[in-house]
Amino acid sequence: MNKISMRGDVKIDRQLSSLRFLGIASVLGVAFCLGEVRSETDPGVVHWSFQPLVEHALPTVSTHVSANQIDLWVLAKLDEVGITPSAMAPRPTLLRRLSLVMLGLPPSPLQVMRFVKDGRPDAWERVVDRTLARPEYGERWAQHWIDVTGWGETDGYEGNESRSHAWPYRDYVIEAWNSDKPYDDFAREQIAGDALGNPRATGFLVAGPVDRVKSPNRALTLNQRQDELARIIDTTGTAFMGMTIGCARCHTHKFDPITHYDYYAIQAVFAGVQHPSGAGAAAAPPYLSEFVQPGPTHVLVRGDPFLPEELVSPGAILSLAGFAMKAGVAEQTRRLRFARWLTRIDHPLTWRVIVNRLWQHHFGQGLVATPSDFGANGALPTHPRLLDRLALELVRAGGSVKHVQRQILQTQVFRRSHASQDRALAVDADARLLWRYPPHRLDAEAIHDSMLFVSGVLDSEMGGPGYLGFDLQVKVDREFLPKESYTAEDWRRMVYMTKVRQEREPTFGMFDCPEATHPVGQRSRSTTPLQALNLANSRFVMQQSELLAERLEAAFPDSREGQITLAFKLALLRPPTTLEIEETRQFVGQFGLVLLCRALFNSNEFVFLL
Amino acid sequence: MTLRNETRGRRDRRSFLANLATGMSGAALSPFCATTGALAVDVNTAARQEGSLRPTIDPRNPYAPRAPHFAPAAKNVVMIFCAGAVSHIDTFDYKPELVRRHGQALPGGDQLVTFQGAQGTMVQPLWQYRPRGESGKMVSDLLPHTAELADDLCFIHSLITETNTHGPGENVMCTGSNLDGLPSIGAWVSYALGSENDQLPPFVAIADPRGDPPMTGNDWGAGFLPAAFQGTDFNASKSIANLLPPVGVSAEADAAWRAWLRRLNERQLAHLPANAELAARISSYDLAARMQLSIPSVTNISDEPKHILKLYGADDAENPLKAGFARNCILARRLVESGVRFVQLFNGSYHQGGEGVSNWDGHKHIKAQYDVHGPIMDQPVAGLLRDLKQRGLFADTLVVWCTEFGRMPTFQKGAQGRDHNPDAFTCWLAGAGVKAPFSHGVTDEFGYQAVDKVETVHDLHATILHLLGLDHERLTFYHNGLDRRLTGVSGTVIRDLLS
Repeated sequence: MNKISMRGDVKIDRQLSSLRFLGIASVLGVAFCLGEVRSETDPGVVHWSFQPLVEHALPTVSTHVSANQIDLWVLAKLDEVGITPSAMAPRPTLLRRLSLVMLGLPPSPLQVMRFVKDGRPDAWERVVDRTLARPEYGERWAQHWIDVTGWGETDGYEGNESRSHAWPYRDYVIEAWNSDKPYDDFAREQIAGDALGNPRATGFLVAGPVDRVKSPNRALTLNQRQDELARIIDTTGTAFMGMTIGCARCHTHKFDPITHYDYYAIQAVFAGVQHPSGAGAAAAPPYLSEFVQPGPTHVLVRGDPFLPEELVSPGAILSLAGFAMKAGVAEQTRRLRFARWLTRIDHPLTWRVIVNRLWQHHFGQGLVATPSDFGANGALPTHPRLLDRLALELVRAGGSVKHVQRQILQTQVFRRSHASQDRALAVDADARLLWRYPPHRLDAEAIHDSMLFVSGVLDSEMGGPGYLGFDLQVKVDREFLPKESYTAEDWRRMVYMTKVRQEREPTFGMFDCPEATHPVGQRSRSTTPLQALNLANSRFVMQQSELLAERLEAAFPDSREGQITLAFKLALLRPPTTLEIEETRQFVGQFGLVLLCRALFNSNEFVFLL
Repeated sequence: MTLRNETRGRRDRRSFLANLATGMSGAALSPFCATTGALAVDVNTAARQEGSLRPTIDPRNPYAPRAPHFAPAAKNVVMIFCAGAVSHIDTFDYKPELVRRHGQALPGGDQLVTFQGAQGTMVQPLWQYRPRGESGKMVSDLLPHTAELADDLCFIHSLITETNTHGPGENVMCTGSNLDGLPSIGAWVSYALGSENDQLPPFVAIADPRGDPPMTGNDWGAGFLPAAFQGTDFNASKSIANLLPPVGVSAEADAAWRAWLRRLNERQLAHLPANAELAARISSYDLAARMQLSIPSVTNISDEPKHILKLYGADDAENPLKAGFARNCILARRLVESGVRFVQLFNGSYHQGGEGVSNWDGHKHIKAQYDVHGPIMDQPVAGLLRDLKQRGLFADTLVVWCTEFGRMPTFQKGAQGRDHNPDAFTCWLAGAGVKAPFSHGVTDEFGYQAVDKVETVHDLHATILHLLGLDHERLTFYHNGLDRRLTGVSGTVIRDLLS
């Protein structure tokens, strides 16, 4: 990279920044000097996600009718491949889906019955509104956001010390979702909440691990600091922009228009962010970012702190209408400026990335299959115009996430049956085009929480310090062992389980639960025999089975059939068939109710979202 | 080199998408739809870049054996990781000049600040070196049993790593990155190759009797790979969690329970045909049931004859830690014998004491501490090598003995031990596909820095993958914007070692 041309870019950017969004102009304006980028992309064509958001004329759809614009975009794609979408799902399935997607908990059999019997034309709208207003909503969606930040409550690395006061950031996220905080406020506060009256939000910047093994050796200290900053830059880039900025730490990004210089300009924005020390102390203040005025930042050749090159000033990605500030500008001002740039209403990435995340958690898959990579190496959107439509909707609604979610929930797409069709399966087996609702396994938290809900012991207390999912043995180091027994303290929602890095929770961790070491935009979804063993044999599940059995016996002390029917209704939200009653009566007669409960908790019907 | 590789990948990806669009049974698909088709399964199961050779994972049986990229020299790996950084100076890297200049300052080292601080003078090896075997390879008296097998070992004396702290160093050796959370080498190998055994997991991590290594699950984690490829950790004295039915549930009840569950699941599946994920969950309960039999059977070493227990030192009543580690070594052999693809055997932990107390981190009292740790490791490891050889398993099995970094030729100022040294350390390989006796690379005259044929941990990993028939540049998994590899963006197969 030629240093003089980089300086030139700053000038170009300053001239253009008074215009409204620069979009193509800015990308092309800078692209001419980004040799590596041009060689990787078709000349003259701006990568789709850098283009301005555009409202497209609605498509005409031949056969299927829906008043909902989202439906029209989905139907148009199905028209193109000649797939007829599946019918609407029955009401019990719908309510279970709505409740698990939006709250991470199943509905009660009573709620199902009420919804089934609600003859009013707006019965669905009503239940959607009620669901969105539930406090469990924030707990559910905070979990998704926490994945994206890689937030954890220990330091990681070999010490893996507790951060017993990191939870205020988790509560901030839950409250933000519950109060429908405008998304741009939510983003800005996490980067510069100390300047915006919400310092708790800056837990975001120090969400990652920190290596506290210190040494007089300077190389070690400098590299540790570079790793800390890289984590902040990487998380900010992927979480908000779907840009793997971290790839530019050692050299200009191979695929995306992010230069080596950009990386260090962003590092200069965050160079004053520090992890607090002494986090484990009982009287420690909340684990939030601490800020100091940083010294100069240099481009580092190959990321090596011993090879500083040109001095950089704080800024953002130049090819995305970035900015450049004076080198010595106040630390907080840097982050505020960055946060405002990030949340411009014409930012092409920020709004697309968040609506894709929303979509992903409604359907199990995003319109863009690589939710944290909207760059040239990521996947293309299946429905690019729909993605733009949703992004613009979010901007117009003042950043109201619930508004966009309400629109998604009102669609036929969300309400379709999961039933399969041979022809559609042959063309689009995974229903990326959404001809049906794609069935998928629940995540660890939803399985855990559903079990507690069904057994009737779920403690709905919100917020505050979490609970530890392990027996912690502190000798020379810290050993996290599986618990021998569980008490009511362990029966809060899993979002409140202390997030220990590197350790998988003994029963549910195997269900692809992230270890809070890296930001995770999309969890893998694997099926393993260890999952089966944990769900079948762990003390946690066995105890929940016993508790559910007690609940059944208390409800129907004298009726085996009543117990069995209630068990099916609570766990599967349907009554057993005649055959099932017969089979189960025999099984329970011989082996007891507890084993029936254990089987229901292990069933595909219980752990899948259908 | 990297750029060329990735450019090739990009071009191939584009032509792949084009082929896909035209190959879709005449359906009129827009370019976006074509991509949908390509990504319909998963960005990773479709070969997104033809430069990559990604295994296709059958969700019903993620551990099915899969073909390597080319004919392999080895089918299985036993990787022995010694926590705390074993001193190469005192074991395998013989430096007569260090003996001669014992007590002098390290030339140019007066300003040197290492991990814990300033350096004292150079200190000769604390155990006598002697020529061993027909090759006359010099090995110290700290590990006499291993020394007897010097002719079977392929040494790399010129390894370096990128950090001088234990946690990140252990991460580098086990996952290729100093950061937490990347997939371990065993996870990569089981993702690539699956297993030859349908009753046991493909990757087993065996913790030391003294406890887990410092980075615990990160050493055998799946990182961003599917959780199925995470290592399963158990050892000869501690079985896996939740293996057996809960207390009070008889075998008969458990079997009836499983049958009832299967009926419920299969009835549902009948309504939802062609759903691989549902079917996979049903199969996973079958494998779980098989593991309930196979794991207790493979960990039960009481059926081993006396002469085998003696060979490993598992009968050493005087030294229970050694006997415990020996039982783990026997377990490692049994796992390899059963077709388990990757066995990671840990020696040392920090649970009973940091800084050398129950590991190789000899900062201040190295002589006394290594006099404890040497015997715990030595005969069991030598026993494992001999046993693998006598059973013919050496032909298919690669043994890797490694640690996170080396130690200084000096003592720390004011202490009786050696500080961390990321610029030189020794590992050895043995068994399938490697030359023996053989020594590769050298350190300077004091063992302070690797100077000839300097090799990184990525080079070592590339070589291990190569021996398993895998091209480390083509074994990839897409994650957060990158086609990730075990070896990051570097690594070269050390061809010098290959037999």
